[in-house]
Amino acid sequence: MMEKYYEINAPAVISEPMEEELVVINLDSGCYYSLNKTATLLWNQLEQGCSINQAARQMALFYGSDEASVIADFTSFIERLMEEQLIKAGNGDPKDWPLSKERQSEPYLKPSFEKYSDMQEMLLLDPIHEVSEVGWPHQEKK
Amino acid sequence: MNKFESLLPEILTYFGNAVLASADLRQRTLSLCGKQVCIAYSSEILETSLFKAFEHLETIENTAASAFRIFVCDGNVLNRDLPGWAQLVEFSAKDKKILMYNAGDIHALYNPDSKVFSLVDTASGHGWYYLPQAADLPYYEKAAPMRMLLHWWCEMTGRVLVHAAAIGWASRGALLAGRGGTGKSTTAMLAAQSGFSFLGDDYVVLDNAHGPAVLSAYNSVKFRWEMVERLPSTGTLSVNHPKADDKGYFYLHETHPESLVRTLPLKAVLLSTIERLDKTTFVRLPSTKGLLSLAASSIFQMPGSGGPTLKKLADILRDIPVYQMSLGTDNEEIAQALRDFLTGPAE
Repeated sequence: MMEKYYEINAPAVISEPMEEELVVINLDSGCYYSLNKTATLLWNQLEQGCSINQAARQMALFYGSDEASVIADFTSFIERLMEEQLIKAGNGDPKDWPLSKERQSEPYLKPSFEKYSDMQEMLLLDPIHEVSEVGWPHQEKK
Repeated sequence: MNKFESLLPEILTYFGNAVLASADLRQRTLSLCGKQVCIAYSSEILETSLFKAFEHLETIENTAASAFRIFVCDGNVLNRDLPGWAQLVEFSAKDKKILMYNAGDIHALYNPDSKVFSLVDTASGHGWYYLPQAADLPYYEKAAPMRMLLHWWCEMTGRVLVHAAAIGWASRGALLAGRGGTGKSTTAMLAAQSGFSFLGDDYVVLDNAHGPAVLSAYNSVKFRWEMVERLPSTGTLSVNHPKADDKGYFYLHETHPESLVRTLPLKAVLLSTIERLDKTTFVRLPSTKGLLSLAASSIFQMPGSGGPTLKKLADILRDIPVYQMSLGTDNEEIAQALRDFLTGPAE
């Protein structure tokens, strides 16, 4: 089967870890997200150039869980990340083994995120607005 | 070549000529984030409109030593608009889009809503602020003036301008964050009237040079007109009127100068909610909630920096406890609960 690779949709998407979660902001859409631990680990794997299958294999080993179910979870979660334009198709180039090979004692949880889209409401209260860092004047990307 | 880059020399010449042509040039010096910032205004109306929010930070120092120098003028000084202005206004008019330019040391932003153009050269430490008519300044610019210049200044000095209120008690500072309508401004105003220290109502600066600290930028308080029902004094303090603007505002430097402080150690982030409970409660939340709340609104309101701002914020907030503060209904009870919270055992 053809391996699928992804990359973070930078520079529109920025992220920062906090505790075991990841805060992700989409500067284009105005939406922002908190990713749970599994989703944060997957995000790191994608950043490292892992395919879905590679990432799932590592995660299944990491948690001692069933690889086929992890692949199914990752496939549907990555579709959601794509829908939110947080990631895009990329070229695989695994640079490192992103996860510790030591088995975790805690249970595997499906990757998930919480989405917040309240910025538009706030921006209407205090005028501010679409921006771009490309230059000026220029047309916003559609 | 980008259109703005080709116009930049003309724009800088325009500002240079405007300085020379300002017969009534006025200079005020601030101590902002511990460093001197000199602001020169081309006219009295600009000084009156744009300095009151900074008045508590004024310092009498040698302006030549200022690390950041800002020149503020309108189109009346040279009786003509900034070079390229008509194109700029026309280009941004569609959809009222903000226009930005970021390249190297030069950053510029035009806000079609306020018609304010801000420009900074971070290498030389110079900023410029322009609008066609000083008399047309919107209320929110008078309450929190030169926000983009302040944002860039913070970036130049390794600090972060955040969208939050900040108060303190017994030398412990707390950020009040959350969306509009969650009681942030009401709580900040209530605190200022109840003997708390006040650092800001809408925008404050975070610094991590010597441990997490919050710094004051503006002494203004913006409030929804409905807030007058809860704090009747706000209505009498307001410098504007409900029919004129969608929010009221006033300057604490004029009404409660004793409450203003320039900096406090940051001890907690409080995400306020209005629950109409009998008692105000504080419930610990994951740190992620604090970062989410502060980062998104700060980054979208001070656009252009994105990733570095998010990282700086995360570094500052990593060890700061975050609480959901569910507000009660009685003002005295809220003030006492905040006092008890801030004087309680440090985590």
